[in-house]
This record gives sequence, structure tokens and C-alpha cells, in this order.
Amino acid sequence: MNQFVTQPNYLIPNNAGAQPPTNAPPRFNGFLGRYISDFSELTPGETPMDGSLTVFPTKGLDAIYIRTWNKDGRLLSFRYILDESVDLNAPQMAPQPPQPDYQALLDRISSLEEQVKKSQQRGGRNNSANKNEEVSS
Amino acid sequence: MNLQQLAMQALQKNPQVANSPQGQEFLRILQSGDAAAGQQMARNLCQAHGTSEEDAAKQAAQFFNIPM
Repeated sequence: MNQFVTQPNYLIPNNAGAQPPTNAPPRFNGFLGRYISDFSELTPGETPMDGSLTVFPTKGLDAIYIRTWNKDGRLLSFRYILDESVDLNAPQMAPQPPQPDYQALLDRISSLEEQVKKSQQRGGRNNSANKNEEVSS
Repeated sequence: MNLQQLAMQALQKNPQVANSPQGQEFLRILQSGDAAAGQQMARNLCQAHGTSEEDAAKQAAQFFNIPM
């Protein structure tokens, strides 16, 4: 198959009347592709050379092939294989925020309360001692 | 303006060339005269299409009406 005659030739003289399109064609806003039985049935011509991706799922949906042309003229092919280890249909639990340890907080508050009480008791004794001294003097 | 400049202008105005990464690289190679990169791109294209370099050269010559 001649791969080079699909476009009109704008350069040779006998085709001089043909003008290159002045406006860019509307870019297809989606994916080109089709179902395939096997990767080997794909041809390079099925992937446009405009940098877009083509998607080829297998008929059993056990793999998806994606092809695109690289800028240096290589046709890149990627294969995505079905991962059945994760049940995506199972209800997904939203991640719970970590719960504070209330018992530890209560213990800490009790401990602080005790310290405050002890401190107040000590302060009260000191004050009364000072007062006694003042009186005696 | 010589033929090479005309050809370059025609390619630059062609949206299929100007709007694709491969076309932009092709224009860059043409403008810079990087023959090695041009050969590599041609080899890659031949390999991707399953065509030998000789066959591709023949088809290109036929397309451009160049006697071989």
C-alpha cells in the first residue's frame, strides 16, 4: 500500500491549483479507536499523526491498548491490563478522621486538676504562715 | 523566494503539520538542517509502517515525480 498518496500534493506544478486548507479542521474532542480481538490486527494508519491518542479495548475487556505517534516518528503503544484484585464495585468507605483518645485527655485533665489543687493548698499554707509572721512581728 | 522557502511556507501553513507535535519536529528538522535527526525520523516511520527504507524511498520518488 502506498502510504504517501493519501494527501493532495500542493507542491508539484500540475497540482498547483490545490491550496492547502487555511483553517485548522475541528479537532475531535474524544478518543478514536475500536474494539479489537488482538493487538496484531492494529495498523499504523489507524492512529492519526497529529499527536492524539487512539484507544483499542479488547473484546473481552481484559486489556486496553493505547497508541500515539511520538514526535520523532515512533509509534508508541501502551497496554493496560485488567486488575481484578480490587473489587471496585464494593462500597467504598470514606476515610475516617482520626478519633481523639478521650480517656487519655480525661486522665490528663484530672492530673492537671490535682496539680492545681496541690499548688493552691501549698500557696494557702504559705500565705497563712506569712500572715502569722506579720502578726507576730 | 526559492523553491525550498516556498515548500517550507506551504508546510508551515498546513494545519495538519503545524498543529501536530510530529509535524513541528519535522519543521524543526527541516529548518535546522539536522540530517541525522531527519534520517532517524524516517527510519522510525519506516519501521512503524513495516516498510523498508528502499520501498519508502521509491514511493516518495514516485509521489514527487522524481526519477530514480
